[in-house]
Amino acid sequence: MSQARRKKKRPTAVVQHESTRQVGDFAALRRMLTASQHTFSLSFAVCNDRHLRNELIEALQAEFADVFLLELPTDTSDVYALAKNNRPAARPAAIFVLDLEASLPFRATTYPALKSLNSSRELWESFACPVVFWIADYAAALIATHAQDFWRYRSHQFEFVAERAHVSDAIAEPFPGYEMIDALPFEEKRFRIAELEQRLREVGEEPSLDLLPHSINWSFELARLFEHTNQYDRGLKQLERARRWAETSYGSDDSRTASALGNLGHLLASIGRLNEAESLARQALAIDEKNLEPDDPRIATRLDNLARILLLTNRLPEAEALLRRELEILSRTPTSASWLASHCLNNLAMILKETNRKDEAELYMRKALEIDEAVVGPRHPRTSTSMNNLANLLENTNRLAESETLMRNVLEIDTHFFGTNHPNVARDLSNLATLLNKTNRLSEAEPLLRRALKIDEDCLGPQHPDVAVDLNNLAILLEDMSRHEEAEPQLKRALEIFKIFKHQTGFEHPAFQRAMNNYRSLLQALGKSEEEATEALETVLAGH
Amino acid sequence: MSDDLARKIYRVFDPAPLRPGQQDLYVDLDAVRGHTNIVHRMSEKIRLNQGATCQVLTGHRGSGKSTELWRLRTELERHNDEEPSYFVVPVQADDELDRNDVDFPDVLIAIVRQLAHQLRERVKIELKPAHFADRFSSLKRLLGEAISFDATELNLGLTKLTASIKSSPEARDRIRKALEPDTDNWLAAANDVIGQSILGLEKKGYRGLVIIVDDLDKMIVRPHDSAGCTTSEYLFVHRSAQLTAFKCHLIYTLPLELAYSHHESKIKQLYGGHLPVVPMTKIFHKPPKSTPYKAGIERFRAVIDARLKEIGVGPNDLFESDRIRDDLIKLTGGQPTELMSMIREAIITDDLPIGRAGVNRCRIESMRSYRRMLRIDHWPVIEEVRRTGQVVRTSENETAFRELLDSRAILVYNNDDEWYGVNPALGGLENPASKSSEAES
Repeated sequence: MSQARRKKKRPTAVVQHESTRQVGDFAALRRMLTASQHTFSLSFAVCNDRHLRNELIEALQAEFADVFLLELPTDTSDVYALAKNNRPAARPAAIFVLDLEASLPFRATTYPALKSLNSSRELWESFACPVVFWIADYAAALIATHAQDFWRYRSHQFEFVAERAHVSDAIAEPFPGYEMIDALPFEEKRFRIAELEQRLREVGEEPSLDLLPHSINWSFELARLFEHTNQYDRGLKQLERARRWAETSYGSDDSRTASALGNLGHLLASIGRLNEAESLARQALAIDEKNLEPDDPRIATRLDNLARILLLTNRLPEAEALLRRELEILSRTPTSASWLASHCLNNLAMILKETNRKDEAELYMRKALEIDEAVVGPRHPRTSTSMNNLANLLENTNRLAESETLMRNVLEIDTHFFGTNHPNVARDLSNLATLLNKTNRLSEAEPLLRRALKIDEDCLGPQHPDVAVDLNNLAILLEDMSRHEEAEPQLKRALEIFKIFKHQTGFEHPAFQRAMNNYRSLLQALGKSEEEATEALETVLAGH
Repeated sequence: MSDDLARKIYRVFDPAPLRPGQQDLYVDLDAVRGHTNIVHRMSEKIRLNQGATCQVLTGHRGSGKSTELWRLRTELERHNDEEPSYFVVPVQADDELDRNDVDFPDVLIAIVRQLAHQLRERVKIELKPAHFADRFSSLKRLLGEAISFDATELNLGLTKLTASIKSSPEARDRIRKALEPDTDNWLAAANDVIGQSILGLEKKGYRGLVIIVDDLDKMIVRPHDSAGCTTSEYLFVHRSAQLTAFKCHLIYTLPLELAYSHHESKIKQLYGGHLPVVPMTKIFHKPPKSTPYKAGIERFRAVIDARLKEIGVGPNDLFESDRIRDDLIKLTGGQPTELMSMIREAIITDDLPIGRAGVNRCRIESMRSYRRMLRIDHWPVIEEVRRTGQVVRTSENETAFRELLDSRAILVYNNDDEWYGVNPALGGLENPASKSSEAES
């Protein structure tokens, strides 16, 4: 074929909204409407953003006259009948079916609309024109399972989905023996802090050898309490002193020193100083591997520590290997380490989830939750951690009702134990907001996200990556509500924080890529061309 | 290139099975599907057996079952001097039944209704309700006022009954409950009507009656409410005594996954000892070699050319190059309907002719949907097929294997012996357990 290939100019600005693939999908959708004119075809346009959806449809209506818009009322049970009874006299250029979600009730176990849709499959052919269902991504998942034949009948599928960064799951914390402390309600923690501070003041800077093990333990406990009450700096001071005590008295090769290093590393990881945290965790593991039997439960703790840091820096295969080794050790350690087993299962489950092995992930998460409920009871921060992870997985696999129940439960438990102003609570709020967003309750979601952001800024500091994730999520929500101008500075700030994170740790934050994509498409929504958006993104990343 | 041309091409590459009048589009794929010559074997079985036969045909969705059945019909309806033709009644199960929920009484009613309808329309034979009159009135008694039902005429009565069955699950339940204890009588009534039909047909010079129930393979498979098996097992295994009790030549399409379950030998035995499968066209050699198979690719080219000829488009106007065309063919894995769908997909990717971007879009779209579907326990089976072209079935992998067949992630081929291939659309996917990073950001 000698003829040169011409590219048609894209007609409207609207679609430059999204990433390259979405631009391609929109072009394909337009071509489909042309090619399938007077010929039946069934397509799904998956779009989780109502605003974007309406914009796209408007643009298409401008180009293709006589598109028949079928907006489904709530609880439609027979979509086809509705289409047939309302069809215009003249054959339309296309039929767009909108708002199927309104007939997919939130807590339903059966979906009459989908059942009838499934059996009406061939009947749609009588329209002899393209039929496009505009649906949200969770509706796509529901159709694929509850109206399988209808789903398989599709000729084409187009996706216009803004990518969202999710808040990271809670990562289980590997400290042994802190169940009682963790279980203290927020107010009582303050009393305990006062008590321990008093004791350690009395011990002084150079404790006697008899007092040393106790002093170290009190420091650990105090640091833990500080962590739970947002006083990370004071926690660090305690742990640094404990480390010094251990090293001078037991030597740097001692297992007791290893545990001080491990605890310090854990807290450093919590506040985002991951490089230091990793080197301490590796040091601690090396010490214990040298001193202890290979299946000593303390090694399991070290592995857990290190795996957590690898998880935070997105090095999943290495983390998985460590956790599997840990699980192996724990399986040989009967009852004593059940608390650790639940942490390990949770962390492993997160990796499985990230690598699309969700069935196995769910199994582990439910097992972890079972252990926690049996060991520490249903109302305990550890149980809420397991619950939170499971809730996220359920959300991820579209079992939204069960997920929402769990999330609200988690929020209630965490508020009880950590107070209203703690990163764990911020995480819970943010997760719940994502779910509300997904089920179209945008106005409810916004105050939750703003509160989460405020908490994380206050507790973790304005440069913490969790703050960036909050900013990203808030920006996406604002975009969903068509408040693009407000969204831009939030995303820009998020990118700057991720940039710093990368600079400091040498690793890319798991949400960095998604935030970049979001920023680029936001700029395009604000009227910039693809090239301008990319350029602006590069400017932000290049820094000042 | 004009939108008009794109429209013409889009229309002619319709993935639906061929309809009467589309003979010119038919391309014989038998030579690249293992010379199974299914149509001939099935029609011979009918011709050589006086009385009743019951056969099943199976194959992947999109492998060309309906097209083969349409050819079988053409073959049986052809008459020459020595052999009078058969009267073939195609029953589109989809038009008659609710695919969500199919049970034997619905199948029976669908068959008799189509039979009565087509005899009246096509050869002006009016069937007498005979036993159906009693059945209708007893049904009316049982259903009471809830379901209006009043007919003494066969066509009308059955049409009303079908409408009630399709209208709501509640009505269907009531009707089934009423029919169930009476099944044998309904079967007798149906056979009485079939007898009348054959009699009438012979008088008009036909050799016999063949009923083809297509689309039963598309019924929704789900756990049966009470029988402790899936709905398809329930219908084809538990109710086989009834399904095979019609006294004429009958052909059903059977869900492929059932043919590859532990019921296989039982089903063979129940449905005449033979279980023909419409295999995929061989586009690649059997794994592990898996190199392209020229003859198969050539047949698919012929399929494309036949359709282009129909709309007066030259064979070189659709694709940018032969290489692009062959790449797209390879991507179909030898599934005829997939060829049509992919050409449609490629057409909407960019301006004609189809170039690299079109093929890439097809690849990415299919990968996307498979990635969503595949679970970790599917992978050992996929990897085994990739390595050996076979699957050693165990009780652990049976579910995964059936699901993979059902979703066409694994395709059945047949030449000399039967083997499996991994759908080329999965080409870019790997077992997530064996690698860490996500494939797509």
